[in-house]
Amino acid sequence: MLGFKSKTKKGSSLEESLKTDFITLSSHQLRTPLSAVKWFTEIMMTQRNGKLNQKQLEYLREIYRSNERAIALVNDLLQVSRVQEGKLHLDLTDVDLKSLVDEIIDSHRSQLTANTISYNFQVINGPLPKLALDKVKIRRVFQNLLNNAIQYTPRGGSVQITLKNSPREIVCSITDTGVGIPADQQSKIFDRFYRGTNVSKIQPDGTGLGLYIAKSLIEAHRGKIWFESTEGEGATFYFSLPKSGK
Amino acid sequence: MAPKILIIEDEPSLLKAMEEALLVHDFQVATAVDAGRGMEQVQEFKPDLILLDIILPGKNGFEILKELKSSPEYAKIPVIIMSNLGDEEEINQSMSLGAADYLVKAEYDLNEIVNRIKKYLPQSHAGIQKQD
Repeated sequence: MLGFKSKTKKGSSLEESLKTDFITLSSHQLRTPLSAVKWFTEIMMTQRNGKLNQKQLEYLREIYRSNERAIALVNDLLQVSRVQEGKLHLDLTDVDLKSLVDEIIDSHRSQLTANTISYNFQVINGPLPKLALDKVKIRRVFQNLLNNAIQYTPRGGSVQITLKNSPREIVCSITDTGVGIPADQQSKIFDRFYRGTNVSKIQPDGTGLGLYIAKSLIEAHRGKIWFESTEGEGATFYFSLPKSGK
Repeated sequence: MAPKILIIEDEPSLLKAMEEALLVHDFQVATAVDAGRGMEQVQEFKPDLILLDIILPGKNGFEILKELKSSPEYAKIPVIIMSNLGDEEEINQSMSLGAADYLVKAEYDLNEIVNRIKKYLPQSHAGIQKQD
């Protein structure tokens, strides 16, 4: 089969390797029927083949949203299996982090406005040098952290994004005024499939993989990721990216 | 004249959805479910752009892409790989063989695919309908 490797990572058990291969294989296979559901739902929602009533349209939107969640879960599982197989490859190019963050904020503007969350983006000690990064993967980390900040911040709250230039690294931070992380759960939030009890109530569809993937992607860039939080007062997530590159 | 798109895809449901989306946007469409029929259609239909799957019965998408790009007659036809494989290995291999782009099917709406096709169509078709 194209693209699948059965290579066992040194030190890992055969059982672990088979489990990872199974996830990779089944994830790829799952994407085909999910693509079909996505595309035919999209076609039906255009109503080119006949007008639908409001209920039918509403149910189609539900099908579409559920299918998108399934696709996101498959993508997360694939990403996790790549991390476990040691197959995480970085496609490094010179990246202007400020432009990247501008672009990401832009794509979340309607979500921020809809939730009446104010936001601010600040560059400290700029201008920032370009860093050799995998743009797609760093974008994914930013999007994940910003999505969390928006989802877990009540209406009327705020999100502050900062890029701080220092001699050896650039530190990115995303601060929210959301629900925060309970003290007894703080040591587990980067674990695979772990979901905090308070956030599960707000966003029941999460997979518990986002922060695990974010940590893996930042560490692949030789950076660090950490957070500070008080339950009920919000959280700040930080990640650093070294200037020396990979 | 409407641009001609050839879809080489062995999954009938995906082929049907892509074909419908392209016909709605007034493209001329031909389809093939394997490499043999795909190469015949390249000769007969003379597409302006090809959407190519990777996992196909018989020859796979990489082999078809290689064949197209080594042919003086067909090398200039833009080929967009459309696959549900999405590892860097497949993406890098496709791009180094001369693909114009690589799209993971499950991550793109049909409208986005149509817009991507318009981006890579030869200049003679530039400025065609920009819907949605």
